[in-house]
Amino acid sequence: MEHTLVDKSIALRDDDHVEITVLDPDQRDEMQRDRERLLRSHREFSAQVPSQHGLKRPFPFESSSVQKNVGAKRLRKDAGTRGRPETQGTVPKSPLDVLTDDLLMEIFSHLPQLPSILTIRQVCQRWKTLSCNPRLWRALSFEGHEHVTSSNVKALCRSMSTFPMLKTLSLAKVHGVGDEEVRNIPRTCAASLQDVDLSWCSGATDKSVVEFSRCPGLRELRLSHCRRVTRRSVRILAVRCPRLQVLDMNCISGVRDSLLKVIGQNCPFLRVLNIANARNVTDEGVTHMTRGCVRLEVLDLSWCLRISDYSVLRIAENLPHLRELGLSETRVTDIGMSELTRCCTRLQILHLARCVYITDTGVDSIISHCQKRLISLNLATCELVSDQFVERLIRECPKLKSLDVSKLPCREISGMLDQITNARDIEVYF
Amino acid sequence: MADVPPSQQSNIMLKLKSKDGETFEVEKAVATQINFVKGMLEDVDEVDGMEIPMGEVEASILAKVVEFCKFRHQQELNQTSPDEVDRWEKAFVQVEKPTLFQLILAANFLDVQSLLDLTCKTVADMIKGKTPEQIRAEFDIENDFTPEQLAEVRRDNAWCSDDR
Repeated sequence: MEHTLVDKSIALRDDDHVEITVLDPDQRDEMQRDRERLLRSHREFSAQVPSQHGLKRPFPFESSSVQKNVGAKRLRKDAGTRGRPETQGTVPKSPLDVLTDDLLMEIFSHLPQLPSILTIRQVCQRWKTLSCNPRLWRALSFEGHEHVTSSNVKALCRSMSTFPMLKTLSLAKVHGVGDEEVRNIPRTCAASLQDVDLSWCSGATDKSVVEFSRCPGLRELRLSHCRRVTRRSVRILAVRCPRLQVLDMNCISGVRDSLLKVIGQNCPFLRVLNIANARNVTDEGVTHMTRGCVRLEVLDLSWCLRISDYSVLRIAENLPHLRELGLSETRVTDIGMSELTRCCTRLQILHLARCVYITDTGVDSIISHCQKRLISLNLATCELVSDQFVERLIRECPKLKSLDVSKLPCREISGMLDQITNARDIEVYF
Repeated sequence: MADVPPSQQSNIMLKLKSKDGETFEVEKAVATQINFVKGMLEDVDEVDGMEIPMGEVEASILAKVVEFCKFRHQQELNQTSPDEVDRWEKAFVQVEKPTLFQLILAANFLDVQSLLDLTCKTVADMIKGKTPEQIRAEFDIENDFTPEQLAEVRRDNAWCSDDR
């Protein structure tokens, strides 16, 4: 009698059909403990799940369904080459059903952004659920979809509800999206957002920039040609986002010395700064900025008409890492150029279009100091530069890939140019 | 393991055993492309001729995995040109879909990241640029949306699917 009881209880471990009542008390306790352990581990699991997978409902907690669910999860994790238990019914199966959710995600993560992800949402329920996984939404770019409307973006945000892992957001050139939608996105991903491109986005306003300033990890913000963004919101952002590395304010209205001062004081990690077309900025603002942003690699001051040699000397003094500098249509002269090329030993790209005070002497200092590194030089409309020095530039700078000498006299050099351009990869614009 | 020069490593042979009992004899340097094998060898001193069971992986799939690892190993030794690698990889994944999915499972289980990337990217390429209907047809997926759900999901995403 005793013997059969033991046998039955052993059988129970392999086969759940046997009634629990045949167990002796010890074994029943053990079963109960097992059950509780499963329940607990399931609770922990499902506590993590809703946020990770975008599921709004918690899993049901009834013990029977809990066990089934946990079992299924276990199986899936250890399965190796075994199939998904849920789909092993009589329903006609897709060959893809052998893959676990994780592996399907692995496949989806190789898809290009938005269009494909939105397409897979329409395939079946399982794919739609998976498509909400934050892993697939690390970057959100509407590039190439200029005609996207407010309601499209609203629908997307509604179906996703949050983008907790979004790192990169590009609304560049999206015109249909209003300020409200632009503002809503950073609210759902403030902790993860790093790179934001709002260039030419007509919906972006000061309010949206203030919303983005609540992302403490923001590294890149491109606001080029956002006509409705002004210096006020950028000032708030500069104070709140100390990790900012890239700030593009090309054509932002009202950029002044005071803003540059705030940037200099608050953004020590800035690598790229574009304030092209800031006509009110003077040497004083640039001086303050260069003292703080000493890591700058790319600086564009083009069409800041009031900038003179004084700024260029401060740049030479404070920005040793500079690779690219835009000074088009500023009042820089040969003196500034000589100091700049001597001190900024990494300079590769220089924009000097319409710098009417630059002469052969300035070009000579470029050649003697940047000869080995120069990649691109724009001298358009620098009328005091002679043919001889244009020719020297081409001959003596082996890495030069692009040279703009449009609207320069340049009468004599076209003959020798053919020889050189054939032998080397260089574009010269006349 | 890192201290053993490649010339000595190549002499050590391992036997990888599939689920259905077939064994594949490969050089240790090739087999250690499989992280699963590498992990197993970490605490072992004498490895020559050792037999390693490869879990649930069937012989036909294991053969492909071994083929892949051999190529990767050769690639590391000979600095194969990117074009040639590309060609080889394209030919390698020219298999029936069930085989491809079994390869994904095996790559995942055996922890061969580059094989997992290659196979998953291959499937992603099959999905890319297709409409939802074409994707369902491609993979025999049943459309389990109700008409209402389908209308809703279509409406929300219509602006994008028309683009490409």
